[in-house]
Amino acid sequence: MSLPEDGTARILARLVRNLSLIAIAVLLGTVVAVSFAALGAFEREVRPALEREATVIGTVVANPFERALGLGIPFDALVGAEEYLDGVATSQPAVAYLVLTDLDGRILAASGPAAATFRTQREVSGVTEATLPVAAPGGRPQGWLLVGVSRAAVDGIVEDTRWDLLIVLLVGVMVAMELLRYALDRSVIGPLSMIDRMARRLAAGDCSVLADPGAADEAGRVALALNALLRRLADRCAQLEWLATEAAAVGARAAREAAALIAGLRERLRLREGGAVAEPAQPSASAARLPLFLFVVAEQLSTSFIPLFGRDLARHGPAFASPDLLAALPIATFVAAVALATPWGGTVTARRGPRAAVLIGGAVAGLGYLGAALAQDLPQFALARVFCGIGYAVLTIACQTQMAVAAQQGRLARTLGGFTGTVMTGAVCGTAIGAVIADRLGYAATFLASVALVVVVMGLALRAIPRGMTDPKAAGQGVVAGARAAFGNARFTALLLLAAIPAKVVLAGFIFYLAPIALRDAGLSQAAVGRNVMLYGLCMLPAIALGGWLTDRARIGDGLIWGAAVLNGAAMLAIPLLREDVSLPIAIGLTGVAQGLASAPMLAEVAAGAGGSTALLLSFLRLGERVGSVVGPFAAAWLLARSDVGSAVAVLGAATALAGLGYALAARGRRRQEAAA
Amino acid sequence: MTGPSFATRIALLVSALTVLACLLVTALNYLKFERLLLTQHQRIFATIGADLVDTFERSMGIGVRLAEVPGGQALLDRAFGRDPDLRRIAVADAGGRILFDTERVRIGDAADPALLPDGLNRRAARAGGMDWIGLPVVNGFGQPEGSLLLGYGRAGIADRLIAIALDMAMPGLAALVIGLPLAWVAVFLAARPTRRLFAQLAALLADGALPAQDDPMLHALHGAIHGHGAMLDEAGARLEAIASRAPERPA
Repeated sequence: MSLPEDGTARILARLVRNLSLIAIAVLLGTVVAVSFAALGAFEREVRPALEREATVIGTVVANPFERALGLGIPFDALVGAEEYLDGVATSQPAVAYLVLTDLDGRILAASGPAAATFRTQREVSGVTEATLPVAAPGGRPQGWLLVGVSRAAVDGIVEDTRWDLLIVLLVGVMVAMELLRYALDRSVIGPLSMIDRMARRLAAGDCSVLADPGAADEAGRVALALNALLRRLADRCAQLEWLATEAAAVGARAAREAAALIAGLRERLRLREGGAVAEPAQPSASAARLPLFLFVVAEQLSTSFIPLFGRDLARHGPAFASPDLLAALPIATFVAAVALATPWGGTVTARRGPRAAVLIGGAVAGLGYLGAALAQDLPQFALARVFCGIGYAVLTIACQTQMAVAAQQGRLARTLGGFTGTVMTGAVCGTAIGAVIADRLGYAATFLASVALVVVVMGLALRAIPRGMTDPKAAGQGVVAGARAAFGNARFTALLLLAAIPAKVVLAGFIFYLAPIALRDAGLSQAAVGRNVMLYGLCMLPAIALGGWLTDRARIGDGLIWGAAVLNGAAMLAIPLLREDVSLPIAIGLTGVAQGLASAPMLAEVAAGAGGSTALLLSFLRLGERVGSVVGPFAAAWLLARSDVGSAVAVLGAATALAGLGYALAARGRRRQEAAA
Repeated sequence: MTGPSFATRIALLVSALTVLACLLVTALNYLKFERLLLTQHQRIFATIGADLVDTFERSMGIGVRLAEVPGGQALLDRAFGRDPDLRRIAVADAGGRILFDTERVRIGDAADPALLPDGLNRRAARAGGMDWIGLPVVNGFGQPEGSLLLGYGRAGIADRLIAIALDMAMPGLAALVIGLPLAWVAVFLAARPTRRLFAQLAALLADGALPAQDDPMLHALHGAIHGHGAMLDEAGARLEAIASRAPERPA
């Protein structure tokens, strides 16, 4: 879909930017206001609850002292008070301190984790205190019992709430951007592209095609006006033809002149016999982007609990293996199904077109999620995950192909870079939302939510992706023939072996395996390890857009691919030279930047430069990447067994840099051959 | 055809997403606070229950059987006043028969097995509109002699939860009441140049009006419409001229 240029493009760019800013501002403003109100309310309401707990504990703890005082034991002669308080403090995890004082505040006994702090400071932060008088039954107070209840659980909730706020904002903004992109494409960008195409046709005298009025908005009104103009032109032509018939009655010369006039007119204004017909639907990248996003969300809803659900089911299963081991089965079957079905997905997409492939993939995945929701034992669940994997493979390849087909002139890399970005944002949103649904509604309900989302995906595909768009290059080509054609293509093979697979080896081996181990060894907490690993995705997302833009604008796709690999390798090689707590986050961030920069040019190279069926080549690229993802952790583990973490990362870095240089040489050789040809 | 503007659709989308995000944040926070308060509420009654169990166990430690603990019923009745949310306290023997109960008519009945502790482990359950804690009563040899069942309501935290929900809902509604109209105005302002472009296109196609905007697409369209119009006008004029000639004489 081509966009109108110059003034219109500027208006559209401004519209997209301003609407995105408005959506972000409104979401930020309202969600932050609600969250701060929640935190304030929580602070207000939780304090009396903590005081009540402290009072109840105090009443219970003071009871033996009061009985002793009732028996006539003097307050300053209470024996074993400290040991008694120790026992209570140990059995009450919420207690920060229990302190028994006389009426002047002199401490007689104290216990609890914060008792030492209380002895020195008397004011302990993060503690809610209740003070109870200690007296014989019916007597006057002889001392005080101070009960401090820790606010740690409350503070933990407040901290959680801040993270939740960030996640909701991130998810909200990402979902808003995807929906906004889709809505703008359907109601503004798409119709304006259509009007632009119609204007070009009209300028060339082609009046055979009518505009699709679509929705009853401004674009629809313009389309109707355009169709009315075309009909007016057709009516006038018909009127002139009638006039020519009248003129022909004057005589033979007049008839010849009139016929010549009408012939000239027909040459300059091409009208279709029987009237103009509606323009066939045009492929659009956003038509695939939103279904892809929603499908990835559907798939990732269950990410946070699949091993737990697998383990629960495995507990009722065979005794020959531990539930922990068997819990890996559904994950392994899903990954294997995705890897093995990807080339078949490419074939289905090439032969039947992206729309049909999305519907097939969606139906298979939907059955898988339904099966997972109803699964009663591990084999049923593993089988359901096979269906999910097949559906995932087919649907993602179909959407990727649709995006490649729909990419407009000069925007191929940016459009395909959007595929990786969409998958990543969908994964973030799906995981975050899924964890909440599973926590409140359970595993089965989460899988049913995935089924509902898949139905929406299929509905969107039916509505937005045009029929057809099969790939004539893949006609009659099976998976084996497709593989032979793909791997017989030197350009594609070099890209796969020297760029795509090494990138995934680094991702799985370094980011997912070695980096968490190294960060943990460097003394970081689990949360800090998670935040460091998140750097990869945070750095990658903007780099994808930059890589796509540079490839389209500066035509430096090959340079970006090998340059990114060398940059990635250099960052990893530097780890043994610097302190790990500094070098690791830098290397993780730079790996994200490097892989983001190379992502769009790699896909564009496959879609545009490598020749052959786009769907099939993309499917073999994805298959190669899966192989890299499987090899990565094993390679890293093998290296780690023979050296330390720093050396293992350095070896992986050296290998990826060398592969990048190899790709540079291959690309140079290819360019020379092309120049010579 | 006078449907709503595309800006209306975009504004509706932004509004729906904002409301959804606010609802999600409110629900998440509410559920989290509810869980915290319920846990804390349970801790309070577990403390009261543990104190009662301790008293019964001390009595058994001096050789008294659980059913014969002196003042056992009075102990429960006194403890019943410790918290307004306490609804019922009962002590059952190892076979689940109720020995003491704040609802005296139930003494001698069988306790609900779902509420009894799991061996030496405490049990938390919800039954009959009440939360229950089942605590084991253990003799000096570490053997379970019976159990203490403590049923409590949520009225104490319900008020707090309502207060938290209202405290979140009011600023949330205020933010939406202020934010959403502003968003609508901003969306329509942002959409104005695009709507103007559509309006110019519609005017150009309807009556050939010259576009005010310096846009190649508009000018190309204007040129094409006028070019074709002029061509048709010229063809029409020439055909009129031919038709108005005197009939030709046969050669």
